[in-house]
Amino acid sequence: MKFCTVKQYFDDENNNNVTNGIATTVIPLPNKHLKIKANNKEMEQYEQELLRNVMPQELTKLILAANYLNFKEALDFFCRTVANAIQNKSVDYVRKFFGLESDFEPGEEEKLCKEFAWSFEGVDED
Amino acid sequence: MKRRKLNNKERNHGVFTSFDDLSDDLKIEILCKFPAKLLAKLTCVCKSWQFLIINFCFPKMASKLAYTGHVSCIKRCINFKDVLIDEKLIAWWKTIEQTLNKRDLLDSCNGLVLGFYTTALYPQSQSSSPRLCRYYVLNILTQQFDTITKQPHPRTSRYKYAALAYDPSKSCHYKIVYFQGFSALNIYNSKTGVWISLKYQHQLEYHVRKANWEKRSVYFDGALYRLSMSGHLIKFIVDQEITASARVKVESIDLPEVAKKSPLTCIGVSQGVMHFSHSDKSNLRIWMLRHNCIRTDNNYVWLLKYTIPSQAILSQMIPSIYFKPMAFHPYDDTIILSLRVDNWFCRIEEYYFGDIQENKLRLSDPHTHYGSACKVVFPYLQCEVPFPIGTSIYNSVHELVHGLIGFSGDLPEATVLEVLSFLSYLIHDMPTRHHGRLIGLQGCDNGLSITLVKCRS
Repeated sequence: MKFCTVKQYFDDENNNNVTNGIATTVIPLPNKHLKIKANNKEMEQYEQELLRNVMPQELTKLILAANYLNFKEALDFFCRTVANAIQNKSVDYVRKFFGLESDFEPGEEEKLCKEFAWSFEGVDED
Repeated sequence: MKRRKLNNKERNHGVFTSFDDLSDDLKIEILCKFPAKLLAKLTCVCKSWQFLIINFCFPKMASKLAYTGHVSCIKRCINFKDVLIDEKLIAWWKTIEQTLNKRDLLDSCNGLVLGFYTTALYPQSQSSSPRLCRYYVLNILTQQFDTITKQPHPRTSRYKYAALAYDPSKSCHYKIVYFQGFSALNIYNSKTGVWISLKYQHQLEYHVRKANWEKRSVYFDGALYRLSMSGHLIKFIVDQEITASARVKVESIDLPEVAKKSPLTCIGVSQGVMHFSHSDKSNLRIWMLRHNCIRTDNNYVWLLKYTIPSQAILSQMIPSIYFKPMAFHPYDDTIILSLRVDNWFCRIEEYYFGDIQENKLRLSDPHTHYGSACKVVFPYLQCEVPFPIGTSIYNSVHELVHGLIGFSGDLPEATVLEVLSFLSYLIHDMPTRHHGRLIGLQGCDNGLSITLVKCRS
């Protein structure tokens, strides 16, 4: 089931959604999953290693690739990693991470922060 | 980092360089995988994220709320049963309890709790100071607490007849509904921050109007339901467009015949259906409400689901005089009962009635004894979705006063203006004998000196 999309990918020559670099990262994942199976710690280490060299900007492409390949576990994994990375950071850090700009009026953002003030506790340095 | 602008050619080839270029559907899917607390922070990132999170991610998260225990109010003390597991939550709840004095639990709906508290306006003054009376809402899981500073007009002391209408899977805003006599509702919408009084579309029948109504309401499918001692279930449709000439659609539904004889009844929503329970010396009966809408006619039918002999229940418990059904478990065939042990104590137990063979008692805590009757019990659903705070001016008077006491000497102008507007607002709300015009405000060593002049009305 996981591999029919992959097969389609190889058959489809005009494929622009998944560049080669991404493919090499995402496709070996299911194999590794099977090998390591229940050993969570090893899996974690493997995952950490995998993402150590990946820039945040690449993460978008990884997510897209995982989505295109219909690879749910990889998508979950990438989202989890992103969540962990931005969990305790400031809103500005998150903006830089995703390459976004704030389009709020000066007062609006403050008001929003106040409304959900509880979510800002324990903010780390950038 | 500057975003590289994509030209059409690149877009068509599907080369994405930034998260923003992903489709909305994919963005929502990814955002929904983040924990609720993180999402609340992410609403501040940019407008499109705020829109997606509030309108898609939060409702999705709130579509199925977990249930572990109930919340009850005994002797003005609010107890959460099997809900406060996290140490942080317990610590937070303790600080909230301290600011509230003479608490009253009024309603709990989909994770939000409605209460009413009174506190001294000037806690430091020796003589009795006027009391501040306010509704408050809180969510234990998100550790949010908000006070509604505005009061319904006309002002009344019958604040207890109020209920909460909140469905986080549809909107993060809530409504507080105050029952103004027997002919109107006063509804507070957290979106607008104002109370609006609405009359009923049709007057209820005389005997329904004149009977006592049970204090507790249940919110279900856009309407509030209340039991009337006349043997009726009254349905108030509260989720509707509020315009100046709007009227509230009210209906009275006949309860099953046998139920009209004793007051030991309760209603609740279980497994997505409205249930009604009645108990007397011989049996505990449970009905389900089926609503058929044939063209414009509303047809309500009660289907008897279970009949359990009272003896069967009493024999499984410690010797009790009688029991009263209090609330329904939201997902299970279980009912929460209040047992009258003797003249002094009563206990709250959950009773599973699903399988006749396996009718058994789920003992909550064999050693818990509550002195005097427990008036209200609500199943507490756990909602991780936050509600917006900030339609009220200040969260507590204490916050304001403590903030100002730090000053000695002159206060900065901005603070003075804030205080003035808040105090004049307060004064306007006070009972008539305290009406006064604020003419002086001065920071001094021990706090704040306020000069008022009595108005001639």
